[in-house]
Amino acid sequence: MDALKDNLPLLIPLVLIDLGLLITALVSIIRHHHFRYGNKVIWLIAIFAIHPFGAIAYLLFGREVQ
Amino acid sequence: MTATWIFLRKEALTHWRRGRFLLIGLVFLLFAIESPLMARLTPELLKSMGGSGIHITLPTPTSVDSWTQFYKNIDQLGIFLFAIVWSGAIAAEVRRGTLVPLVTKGLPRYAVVLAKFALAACTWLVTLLASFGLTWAYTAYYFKDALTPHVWAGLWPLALYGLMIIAITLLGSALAKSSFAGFLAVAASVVVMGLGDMWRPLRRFNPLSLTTNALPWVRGTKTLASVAPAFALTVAITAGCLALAIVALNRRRL
Repeated sequence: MDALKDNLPLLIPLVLIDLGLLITALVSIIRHHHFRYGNKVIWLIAIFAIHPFGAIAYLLFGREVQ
Repeated sequence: MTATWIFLRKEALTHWRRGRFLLIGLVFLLFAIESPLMARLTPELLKSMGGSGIHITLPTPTSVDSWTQFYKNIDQLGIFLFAIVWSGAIAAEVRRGTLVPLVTKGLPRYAVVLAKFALAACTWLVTLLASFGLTWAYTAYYFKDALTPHVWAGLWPLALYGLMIIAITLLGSALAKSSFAGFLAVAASVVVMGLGDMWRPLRRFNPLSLTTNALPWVRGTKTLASVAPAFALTVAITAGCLALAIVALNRRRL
């Protein structure tokens, strides 16, 4: 527990950024039906399975350019 | 120059609307926070994995570990993020034909290359400096030792190296049709530099030395002057790639 408490100043912003990326990607995937590469199911699996790279990859490549 | 400036503003707006700045910024912040955290947690993780039967003595983490993580993250992941984002910068515009109306209205083609380079370079320098500052603050807070007296010494060479990578990305993108060309050009040059790094006498000239020596510079065990030729070569390659990219785009059918 001590290790957790000592590292809180590092963990809190890290978790916030991680969650921010995940939620942004998740909302975007749910709202869209067409993607540049892949489809909804693949991206949903990707953002949860390979976190945070899945979300970063989706935000870079998955989103369709409007 | 006015044309370059106007095209630069258009580029910045495009990247802003696609959320690219935010994404790059967040990834670099992740690196900045993760570096000291990994340095602190690695001994704990190893301890918990070792089980109860084995007794291992691990050195206490120092500021050196924190900076090692930082330079590893930026050098092996951060720079490639730029190569990926700008990989299709020119190729995709040529393919979509979005440059045609601008060029026929009088936008000089060199302005395209220069504006794209300027935008990527500014983004790189700002995000690098921000994540460096954050790692610095955390490292100073968590690791109160005097093992890394020259924290700035590792940063400038890395910044310069990043500019070269961006220039190589744009050259690749100006030459080929594929959106991946820029990234492939960077990957190929990193492989070549990596092979060159194996041969000792060549290291003084190898641009890769600008990143591999970061820790000795930060610790003060080596001087920046030891790889002076590599600095000169990096600047020359950056300028050369930009010039070639302009020539390539000038000759290209839009």
